[in-house]
Amino acid sequence: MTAVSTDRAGKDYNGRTVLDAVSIAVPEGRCVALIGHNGAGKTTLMKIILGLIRPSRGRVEVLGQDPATAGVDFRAKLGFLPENVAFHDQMTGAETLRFFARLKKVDTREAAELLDRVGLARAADQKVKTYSKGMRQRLGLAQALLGRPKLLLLDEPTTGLDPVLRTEFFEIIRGLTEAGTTVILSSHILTELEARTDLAAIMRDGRLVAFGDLESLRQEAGLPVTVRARGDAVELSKKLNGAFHKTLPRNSAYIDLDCPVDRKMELLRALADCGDLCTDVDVRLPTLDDLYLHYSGRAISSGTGREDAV
Amino acid sequence: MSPILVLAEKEFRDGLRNKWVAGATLLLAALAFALTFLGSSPAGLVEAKPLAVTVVSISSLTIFLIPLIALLIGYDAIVGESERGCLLLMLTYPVSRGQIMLGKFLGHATILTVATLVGYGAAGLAAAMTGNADAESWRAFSALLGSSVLLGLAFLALAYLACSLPSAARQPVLPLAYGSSSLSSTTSRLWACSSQAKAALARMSSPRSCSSIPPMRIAYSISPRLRTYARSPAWADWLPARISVRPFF
Repeated sequence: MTAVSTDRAGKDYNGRTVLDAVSIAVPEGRCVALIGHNGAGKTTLMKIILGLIRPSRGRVEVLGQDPATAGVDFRAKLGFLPENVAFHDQMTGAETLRFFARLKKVDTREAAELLDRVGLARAADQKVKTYSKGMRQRLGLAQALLGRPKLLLLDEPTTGLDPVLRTEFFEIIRGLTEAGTTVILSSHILTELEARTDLAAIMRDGRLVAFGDLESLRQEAGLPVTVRARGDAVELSKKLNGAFHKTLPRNSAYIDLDCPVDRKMELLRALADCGDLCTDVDVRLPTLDDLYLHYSGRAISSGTGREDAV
Repeated sequence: MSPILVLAEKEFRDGLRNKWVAGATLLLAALAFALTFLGSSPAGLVEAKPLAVTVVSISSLTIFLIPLIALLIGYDAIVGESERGCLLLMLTYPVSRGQIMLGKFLGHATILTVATLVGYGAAGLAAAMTGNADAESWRAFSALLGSSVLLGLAFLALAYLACSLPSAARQPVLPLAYGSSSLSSTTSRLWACSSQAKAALARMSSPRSCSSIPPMRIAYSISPRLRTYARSPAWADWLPARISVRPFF
């Protein structure tokens, strides 16, 4: 079942188009990463899905309802972590979470458990104004998880988290998606999303330039595999003799060779034939960063409706 | 528990924590005490009841101070929260916008009521204890307390209304609301209450004792511009008919 679907959704602010014809369909229980530069329309799309703003054009359906007109029951099924989350400085962490739990009609014992889960149990009785950025972010995550939401929207959830917490964070997310929660999160840090999200939606200037799972996006982009061969760079490049596109670094200790995915083995065999000239080989597959740069840099002429990729 | 009460309780607790309650109470009490004990000199040698003098002085204070406090609290509640980003998160919770407004209003109304009752009440009690107060001045004093609270609530509501406008329209509204404070109908109610007390004063002492300066005259002496503003009939045209515009000279 589709948890979130938008059909050519668009939004104008004072005559300026910030979101244009975005069509996505997110199946239930999947984790989607919204990727895009600042001002690409990620937050606007989230606000439309939350029902905080109405789209100027197009149709949006979230959990079977139109979020702009859905009532209180609909919002009980949502969890949201805004970018730069703010709380009342004078309240303690525990009080803040209890307040949100009561507002969501959730047992306040769950609030205490969640504080423990995000690692704030020891700081629970400190005032929020003493919290670091990462602690606020964790408190924000805890309030978003209150009441086991069906749909979780996280705007830049990992900013301010250290690597350990980031890993824990993605573990929590995985546990939630396994239990059937749909997660939509946005991020700048692309590498951390890899292998942790099912789907990626790449946005640029308010348009959706690519949407699908990482594997199919990779295939579609046709980005080359980069092989770094260490050894005598001059001899190696002579031997390979222009069969592959190569770049020579300044220190000549290695060369980088680009080749299409389907010629990877051919290249590796050629390197193996070089004998002692090649001492080591690194194979680097195109990362999310490469994909992002590829998709965000290319001209948008072929339309944006890419929902068939799911 | 209803979300309205949850919000109201949180607002009130916030008010206690961030010293809004303490600040407003102390300010009102300090000014009321000052007016009671320093400002009662017009009573001079005549035999005016100290409580009655207090009522007259405090009603002048109320007209300028209570709307200011109410507008500040109300503005912070909506615009401050919206700028900090708290409001955005709240709106994704299963509460309606009406419930958020009502809850906040209840909380802030409690803050304002407590501050007014405690601040003025303390001054009133002190005035009553230093001299004898008759039933009539007690009546005037409780009418003053009641209408001060009502005035505060009215301006709290005005602040909410102003904050709910789009930000471009919001900016001129708050000063306008405050500027019109001395001309609103609630103010004339207060005026009536202060003149009640003055009548009580006049009855029990020589006419000279009620020469404490009427509030509007203070406003005029503060701002000549306000005076010309208040006299020109053009601006009054768009006011709702039910708000009476009576300059009090």
